[in-house]
Amino acid sequence: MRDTDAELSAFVEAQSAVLLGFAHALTGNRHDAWDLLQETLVRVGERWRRIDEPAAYARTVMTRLNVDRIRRLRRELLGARTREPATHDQLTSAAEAWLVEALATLTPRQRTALALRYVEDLDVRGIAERMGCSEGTVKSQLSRGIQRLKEHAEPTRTAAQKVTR
Amino acid sequence: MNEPEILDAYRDLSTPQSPPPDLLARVDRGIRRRRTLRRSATGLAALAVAGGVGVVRLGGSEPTASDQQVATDPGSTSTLTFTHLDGGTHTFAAGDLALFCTSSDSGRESLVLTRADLVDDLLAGREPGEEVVESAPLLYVELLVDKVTPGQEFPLPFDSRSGDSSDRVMTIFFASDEGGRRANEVSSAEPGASGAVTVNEARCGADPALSFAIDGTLGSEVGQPAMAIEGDYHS
Repeated sequence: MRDTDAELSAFVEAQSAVLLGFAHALTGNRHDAWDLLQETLVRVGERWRRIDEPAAYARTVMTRLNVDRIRRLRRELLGARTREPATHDQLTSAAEAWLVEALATLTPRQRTALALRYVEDLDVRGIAERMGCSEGTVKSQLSRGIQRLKEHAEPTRTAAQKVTR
Repeated sequence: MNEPEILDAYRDLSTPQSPPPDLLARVDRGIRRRRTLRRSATGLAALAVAGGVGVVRLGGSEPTASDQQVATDPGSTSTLTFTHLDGGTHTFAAGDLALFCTSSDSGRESLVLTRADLVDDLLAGREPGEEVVESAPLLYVELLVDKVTPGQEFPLPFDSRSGDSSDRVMTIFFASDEGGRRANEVSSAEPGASGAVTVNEARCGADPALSFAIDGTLGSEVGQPAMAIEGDYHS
């Protein structure tokens, strides 16, 4: 096995669990996260010899692929006829379950901006660089995304309070 | 719902997870497939010249003014014909296509050429239903206006360093509406793409215009053979 193959294999083994977690935050869906991880690693592997910082590069690729309009169009319009049945998410907490439900109501760009803020801890400039868009766009996506999360939380919280009374 | 609560939820959601055990093998297959497609692209282009590979022809349409600056021309005789390896064809009348300007995902001005019946949904930000694609082949062309000068030639494949379509000067995507062995989805961003596109005009504003000529192949995104694409489009 060539050195580059061994290095790439080591990278995949070392990083895939963390990247899969990030992909889950980006997509809010385990099936889509797995698909996104696989596509990202293929892109990374393809350019392996030309990449200086593979972990950072992989995160950028994953972020861009997640908001890629063509990829989304292909997945959402054509995915149903070839997609394997989605596995049921095994959520570990009520907060996680709430967030997955809320993320389903957001656009891919809103989900991406929020994940970069809350998981990667990036500021507006960093998010804009990662997503390849303007800082104004990021502010708008964050604002609308957070607003939607809060709107989703209200009925959930009210229902939970009624149950506990 | 406050910031700490959102942070906690994200912490749970992004907890590192064990990937499927065959991940490395799948990634390896994916890399090899893309490299093979890239190497074979030149050969497929040569076959296409001899008429042995599927062909997509793009026809013209005339712009009409509207609030959304959507250009269609039901009266045009130009067509788009897609030919399978086995000789089967898909033909689009130019009147079925529409050209409009929009903002790309990166916030830049872009031209989109696609099936006219998809435009309302796309402009409204709605995801068209799956039945739309099941009913007929899909064509989607997107071009960044500020990356083009008249007469400029762009070699295929068009792909950005990150793989993000919003960074590409142009994306041409085609999907057949058939299932089984004839199903195919081809793109100008795939390694199997080769040849070149010459863009003669790309303009947004009240009177969107697009003119390009293409001769090459589009690579499959689903492991099927690449397809040749040739012809031109003039709005």
